[in-house]
Amino acid sequence: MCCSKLRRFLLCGFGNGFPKQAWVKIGGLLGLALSASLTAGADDLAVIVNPQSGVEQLTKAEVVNLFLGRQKKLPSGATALTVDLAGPNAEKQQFYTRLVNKQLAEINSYWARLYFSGQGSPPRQAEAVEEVLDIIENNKGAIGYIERAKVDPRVKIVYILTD
Amino acid sequence: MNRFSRQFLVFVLIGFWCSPIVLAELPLGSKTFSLSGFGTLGGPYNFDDEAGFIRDISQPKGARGNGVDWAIDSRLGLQGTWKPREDFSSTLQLVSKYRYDGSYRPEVTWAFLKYAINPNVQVRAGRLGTDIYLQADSRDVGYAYLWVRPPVDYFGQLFNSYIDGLDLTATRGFGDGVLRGKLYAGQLHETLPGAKGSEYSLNGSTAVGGHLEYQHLHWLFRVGYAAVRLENEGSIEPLLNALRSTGVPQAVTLAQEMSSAGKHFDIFSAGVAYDNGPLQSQLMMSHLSSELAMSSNNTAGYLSIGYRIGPWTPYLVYSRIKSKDPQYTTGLPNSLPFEAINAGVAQAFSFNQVNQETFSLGVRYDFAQNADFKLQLDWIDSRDNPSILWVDPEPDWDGQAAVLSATFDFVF
Repeated sequence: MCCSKLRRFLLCGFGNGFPKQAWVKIGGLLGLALSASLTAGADDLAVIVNPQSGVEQLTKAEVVNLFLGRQKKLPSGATALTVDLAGPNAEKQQFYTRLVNKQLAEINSYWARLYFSGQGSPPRQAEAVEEVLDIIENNKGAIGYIERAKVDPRVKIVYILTD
Repeated sequence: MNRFSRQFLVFVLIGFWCSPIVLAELPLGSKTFSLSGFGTLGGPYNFDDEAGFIRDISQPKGARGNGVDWAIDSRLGLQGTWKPREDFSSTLQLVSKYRYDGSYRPEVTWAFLKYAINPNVQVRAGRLGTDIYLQADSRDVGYAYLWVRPPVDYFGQLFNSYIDGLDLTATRGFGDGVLRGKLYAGQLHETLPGAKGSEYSLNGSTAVGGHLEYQHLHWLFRVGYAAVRLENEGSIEPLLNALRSTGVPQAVTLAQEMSSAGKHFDIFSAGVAYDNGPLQSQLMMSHLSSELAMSSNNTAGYLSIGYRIGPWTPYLVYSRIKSKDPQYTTGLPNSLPFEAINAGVAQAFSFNQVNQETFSLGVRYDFAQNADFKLQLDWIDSRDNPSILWVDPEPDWDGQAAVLSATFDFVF
């Protein structure tokens, strides 16, 4: 586990080269808007687990309980290891917007309360899709999210978050 | 706060703010260690100079006129967590804030070992934050809540921030939601400032309690109970001796009822929070039932509603606390030599009374992902003078105060 997890969690989004990131973001948004109009559901987010987790499907409430640290156990009984996709792309904001309609600052504030009262740590922060896939492939209890189109056979989809 | 300590605090805060990178990962062999922190810089400006505005009863002096009082809300916390295994961790937290003795000496607020028996049941042993009310254990972390400070009418009477003991938390799924129960027991350790420079030590007092929470998507329901037993006698011992020495049965009985050693408080609380997207709301109530005569029973509550619009979250809070009017008689005629005793008793009772309501209007601005700025205006109507929530009010104070506060909160 990464040690300054909270710090990384809170600071992600900072310290990236501004101009490049901005252009990538604008490009990405345009791209998303275009592809959304062409193929519905192309920007769906897939909540994914390890195929050996014993979990077939989750409800939205279960995903909320896991990612907000209310439940630390998958329905199959394994200890959950939640993973955020916190790289320079917008998946993390998109995920929390669709899941609970919260800004990342609100999610950070929520975790600050739990973390500084010794109740738990925020999800592990992965920088890229490949890292999410890697963590899930190697941990039976891991649960994360990536764009649906990027899902591969190493992981299993248990919930789809649409726009 | 004197000028030196204020400058010192500002420098320390700026230092931490500018150097989050320094507090990077500290590898401890193959173990995992993390260092994080939180802080608040700012404070209230009390437009009224006739009474001292405090955040809670641990503060010996309050804000009264004369500029922003940085002491009331500014604080800095550092937390180290060592987690060698998934089911075992250890946490240490230090907080520097304005204390009962007027200093800012850092204090250990959390220091515990945590063991998860399974993912749903965990025990912690050591120094643990007081969890009497929702959010009571994170009152120092301004970044974690909407307001400039937790509503004073509700949280202001809390007399301790931690216990040295044990807690046990169990969680289970229930329908789509999660049911969580917590039990705790421990000893208190802090000191409270009293009237006229006196102090009351909580050392050796005990607290036992628990709560039950049910969280279902947007809803949180909570009921709690805590029992506190006071160990020590207060600074009014000479007054109690004077009452006893009169030999008048009513006075002797009253002295017994006013003696704090061995007295119990029962604290009941219940509340509901509804948090859905941009909307955050809470309604919390509590009732203190006291065996100690001059700390009469009281009921407190608040309603808070906030609504986020982009990075801005304006909010409204209404809070209220009222203690029961004390019923007592010394049985002594109000003439020499008993006048002084009667006056002393009346004063001891009045210092602990409280009857006030507050209407607050504020906004939280999340200008970054780990820092916010808040502005809040409180209109307070205190109908008791003196009151446990005000320091040294002038005898002719009308009890009306407007307090404007600004704070900057951060975590790293």
